[in-house]
Amino acid sequence: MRPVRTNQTKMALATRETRRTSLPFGRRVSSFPRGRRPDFALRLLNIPTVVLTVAVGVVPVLYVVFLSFESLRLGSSAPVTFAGWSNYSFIISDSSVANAFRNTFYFSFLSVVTATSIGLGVALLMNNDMLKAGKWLILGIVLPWAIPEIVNALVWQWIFNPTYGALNGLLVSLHLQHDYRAWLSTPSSAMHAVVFAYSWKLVPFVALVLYAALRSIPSELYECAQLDGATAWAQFRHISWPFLTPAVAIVILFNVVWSMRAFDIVYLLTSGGPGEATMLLSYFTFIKAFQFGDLGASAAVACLLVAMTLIMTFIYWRMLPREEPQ
Amino acid sequence: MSSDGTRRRTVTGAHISERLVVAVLVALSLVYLLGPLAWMAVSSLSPDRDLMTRPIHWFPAHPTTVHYRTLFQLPGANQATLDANPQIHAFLRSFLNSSIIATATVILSLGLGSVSAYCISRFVSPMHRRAILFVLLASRMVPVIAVLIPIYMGLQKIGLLNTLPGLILVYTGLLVPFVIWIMEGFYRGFPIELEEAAVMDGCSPSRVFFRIVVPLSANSLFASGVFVFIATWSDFIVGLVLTNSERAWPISVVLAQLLNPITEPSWGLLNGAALIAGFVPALLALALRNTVTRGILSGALKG
Repeated sequence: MRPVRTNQTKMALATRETRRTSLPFGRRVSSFPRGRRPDFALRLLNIPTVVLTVAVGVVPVLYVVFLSFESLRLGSSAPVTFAGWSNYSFIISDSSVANAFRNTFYFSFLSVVTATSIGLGVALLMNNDMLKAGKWLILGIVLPWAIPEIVNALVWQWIFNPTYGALNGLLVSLHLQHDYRAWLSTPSSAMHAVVFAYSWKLVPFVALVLYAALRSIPSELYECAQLDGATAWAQFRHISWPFLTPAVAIVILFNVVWSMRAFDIVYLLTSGGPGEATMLLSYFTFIKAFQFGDLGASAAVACLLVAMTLIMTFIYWRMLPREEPQ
Repeated sequence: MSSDGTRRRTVTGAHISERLVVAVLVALSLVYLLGPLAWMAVSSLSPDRDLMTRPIHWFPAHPTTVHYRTLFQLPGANQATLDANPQIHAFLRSFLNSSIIATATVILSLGLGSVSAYCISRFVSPMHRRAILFVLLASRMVPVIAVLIPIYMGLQKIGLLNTLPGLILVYTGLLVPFVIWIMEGFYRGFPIELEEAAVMDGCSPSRVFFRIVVPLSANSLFASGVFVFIATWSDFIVGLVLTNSERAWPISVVLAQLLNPITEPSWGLLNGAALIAGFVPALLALALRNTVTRGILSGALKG
């Protein structure tokens, strides 16, 4: 069997080689002139990049898959033992994992809805040239985008403070609420408070992407619509919205990916509590490994996260416009 | 909507009410977007006894810099707060740590990433290029927390846990795919004629890259560098897992530790610390807002 396979491989390689050399290199837009190869210096400089990306981006993913089939505790000297599917049967049967999964979905959905609706509003205002407010709004969206997530979490921890918080103070002084509330330690409001704080930092990204989509609409379309007497809503529905949908799709996709890594906000605002009301998959992975020391189970949840991310990446990849081929 | 028609109507003054609505909405948006940050600044300048009142003092009645003095241990610091929260002693050090980590990560990831991006855009067949770019995209998307256990174990093995070089290497490994992804797109659109001309004059590929391509891509490199800096400075979870002492703590980790869950914290101090931690990336993004907004779009929408 073996020699035959080798021959086949050789043949396949040979045909591929001929195919490749017969490619008209000179006609490819971005190839080096006359099919040149990189020289020694360039090859050498690529080595650290390959080593680092493989060591930090590829090997850990494979190792997590390996770990998810092992039984291993943090800090224990007991040998690693093969655990089969037991970590996976644990995450399927464990109610905390199911809860974290549900919470992540809910968190993702709610933050997408919140950030997209507010972001769309901001984008429309940026695009509205009645007041030329775009410049001011750019200042307004750059700052929340740039500050670290952990700063965002701390600021909202203070705003939601049950005894002296600004949100309570504001609502009471506006007579919308009688007494101060503990937003973050009440099970029914904790998740919504976390989502509200998290969405605040997402709005700039959403607004910017949607604003760029709005800018790409030719103004002739609106002029024609106005001549035909279309209302503002009709213009939005039939001109703006079709241009906005691809951008909205990208926004949703990125937000879903990001909500699977949302960590800082939960860490500082609620630590997953009260009870497990704000426990997300990313935070669960963290405490399972670094507080309970169960690396195998944590790795199994991590694999779940990686698998979901890869699906999203693949969808995003298909959404991107195809390059060349010339 | 954004059209000349609308503008003409407003010039005639027929739609004052419409303009008023837009003005109110813009003001509301700015309050929503900047309010929390303004409240952070106001709180950091108020003495704690002014913060712990009902109803709330929306403007500092007795503005003070005591919280900043305490954070940087300058004369006039609040000794009681300092004694109650020993983590404050690590604050200045963590600020320096984060500056070193972020700067080194920018230099390394730009240096390494730009060469690889160039090679991928010039010397790799389209099929392989697509494969490489997909792997890079995927490694950019994977949640860091999912791969931190192996990274933790690896760093432990090579003795770089809780060190600045260890963190720099990890951040570089995490951010190089981003730099390659952005720069590869730039190089693919780079006019090949310039390179051809240089080759005619007898330049080697590496000479072409360093003498012609790099100087002409300074703007894109700069933009990528700003993003890498902000991402590194803002990271929390990598620092949280891979460090355990003042020696390597980044500012985000010390900031989280200042929020002591046992005693009621000094909220003025916490807001001051948060403001300092947010100040660096915020200032960078504000000063370079055009670069940043273009960068966000090219990162999200690039094909």
